[in-house]
Amino acid sequence: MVTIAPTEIELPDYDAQLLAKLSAVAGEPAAVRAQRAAALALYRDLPLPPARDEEWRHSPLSLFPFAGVQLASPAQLGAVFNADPWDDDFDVVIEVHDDSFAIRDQASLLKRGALEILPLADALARQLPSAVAPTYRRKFVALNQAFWTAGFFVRVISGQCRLLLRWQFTKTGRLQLPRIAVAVESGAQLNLVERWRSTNDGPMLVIGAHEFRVAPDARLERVALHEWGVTTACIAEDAAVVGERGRADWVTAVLGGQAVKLVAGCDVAGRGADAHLSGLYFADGAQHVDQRTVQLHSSPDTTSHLLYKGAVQDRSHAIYQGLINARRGAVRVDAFQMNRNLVLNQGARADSLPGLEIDADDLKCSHGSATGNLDPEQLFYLRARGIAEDEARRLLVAAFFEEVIGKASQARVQEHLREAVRQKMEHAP
Amino acid sequence: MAEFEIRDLQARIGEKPILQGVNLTIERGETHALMGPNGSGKSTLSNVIMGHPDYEVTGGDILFRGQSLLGLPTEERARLGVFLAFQYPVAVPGVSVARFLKTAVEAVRGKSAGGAGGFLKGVREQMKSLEMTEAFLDRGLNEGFSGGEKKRLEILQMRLLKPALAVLDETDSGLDIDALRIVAGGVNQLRGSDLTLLVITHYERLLKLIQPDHLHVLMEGRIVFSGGPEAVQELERRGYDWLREQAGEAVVAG
Ligand SMILES: Nc1ncnc2c1ncn2[C@@H]1O[C@H](COP(=O)(O)OP(=O)(O)OP(=O)(O)O)[C@@H](O)[C@H]1O
Ligand SMILES: [Mg+2]
Repeated sequence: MVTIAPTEIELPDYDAQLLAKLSAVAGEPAAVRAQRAAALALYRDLPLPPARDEEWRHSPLSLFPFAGVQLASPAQLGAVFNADPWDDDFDVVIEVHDDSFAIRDQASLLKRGALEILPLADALARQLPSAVAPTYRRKFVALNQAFWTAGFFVRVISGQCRLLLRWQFTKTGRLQLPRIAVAVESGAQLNLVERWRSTNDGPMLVIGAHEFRVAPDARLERVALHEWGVTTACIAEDAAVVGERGRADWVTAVLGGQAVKLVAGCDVAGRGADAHLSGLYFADGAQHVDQRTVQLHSSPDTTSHLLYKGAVQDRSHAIYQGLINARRGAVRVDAFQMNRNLVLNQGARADSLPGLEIDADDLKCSHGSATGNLDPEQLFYLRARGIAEDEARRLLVAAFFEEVIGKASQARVQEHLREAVRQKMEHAP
Repeated sequence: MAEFEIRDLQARIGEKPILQGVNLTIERGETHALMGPNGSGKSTLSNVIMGHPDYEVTGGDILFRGQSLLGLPTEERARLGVFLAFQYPVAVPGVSVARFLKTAVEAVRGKSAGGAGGFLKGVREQMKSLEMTEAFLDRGLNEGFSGGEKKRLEILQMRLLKPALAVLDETDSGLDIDALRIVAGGVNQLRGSDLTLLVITHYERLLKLIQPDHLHVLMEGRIVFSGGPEAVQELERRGYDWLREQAGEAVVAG
């Protein structure tokens, strides 16, 4: 078991001068600069999470290479688009490669006006209400909102849209701050897949903040694949607000990265709103994966269903913290939270900390967690049928994840996740 | 050389000794029945034959075709042709029956010449003979299966794996009258010089359908009776108590 002493670290001075330089390179208008400046003020106002902070005590800031990275340059529209086999399954593709991005409107949704995609600066300049993030008093969200280096505003106006966002970072020694603001308008549906990748030949730090607004009767399915290289660290916070009778389906998969700290918060904010949060994580080597989820029920007649499943092997460490929060007056709420972990060898560690904060009554709310190794009786049964032990272990681990893999609707994503789990098992000790 | 021989086998779980010197010899192609009260160690014996890691063998040996099974991992035993139909087959959600059967058959018998299509065709035929619907193929292994459905699936596996030695641990429990006949028929079709059988049961009715050559009774971790199959009627009538009394003195040889 690796215990890391809580260390107070100094972060580099992210200040107005640095921000001015960034805005100048990007050539941003005053309105955007003003919003960045406001976020910077908030950032500087907020204290660093203390080492004993409930949320941070398992993941000291020293895990994240702040000192070894420089702010990346803002992403600009690039000249080339590198096609990828995944593109075929989507209507629109956004590709970000270090500081250059490209958008491909394969099904003419942008042209037809069913969809709007703007570089975030343009959306902020136009003060589009759904692009302006609520001010979370969160240190790293504020840092992202001040210094974001690549950002997009996506609005699905009508019909269904399948959008692929491919992010690839290859420049080492960089701090990248991606930001996505998504709005799905009433009656529309977005199927979003985000692939987050980086090379692994040097330190990189990614600090992301993403917002999703699901209007009444709208639907969002979102799959986020964290496939960072082993020398990349990532801190990201995702927040969704789901309106009346809206539905959000999230699948967050964490497979790569040296240290990954994610927060996924979903507010089922309108009466009848429904959220399904699913997580799959598999840490190996010395990976550190810390995830926190918040199921916020701020309205009556709302439901949320959460299932996070993880495996740890080698010396890796995974932490899951869950919170169900039902606000006063949120009656007839149905909330469920389950976290299961497989600890595949001694020396690997999984912590599960489910939690409830209930201000309302008249609600159905349950949570649970289970952590352990593979079931020896299942293993014996498979081996009694001639299946070799390592093959049996692979089968059982695959079976364990099948339930969450099934939450992603696209066959390509499902197959990709199965393969990722297989790959991890190939490296089993 | 006997096909299967258990010699003075002793095994324990934790500190608790369960098998206390079991002796049993089965000639090739024979069917032996094993009876005995609850908790006498029948399932323990099955598990030890298969190499369950929870049981520690503290003495004796298990020989299959003259080779000791004791040092072999469970999967090696299966590949040698040893099969156990479990008393309580475990559920493995997330592994489909089809996937499992294919993996198991390939592990024991190698890849089938007919490819995936040929394999499935064979499975479907076997399922038909056991009156199982094909819908089972897509379900999680034993997930939500009724008691009887699990037992049918055990026998389906036996038919696909074609073992040389099969131990059936209370395969009749949980089966309705029709299912019992179907399952027993499925076993009987395999009988012959290529299959040596040890049938564990509490009831005469199974032994009427799968007629054994010999009958043994296990009590408190020892074989206390070995004799002809006709003894089953006496057991049905008198229970085990009279054997218990005798066992205090000497082991009855049939
Ligand atoms: N894992 C275990 N831990 C503790 N005791 C065990 C374990 N497995 C078996 N035993 C004990 O060993 C003894 C023999 O059990 P076993 O299951 O072999 O009996 P059995 O003859 O198959 O009984 P039944 O007819 O009820 O199936 C019992 O007393 C049982 O409680
Ligand atoms: Mg038993």
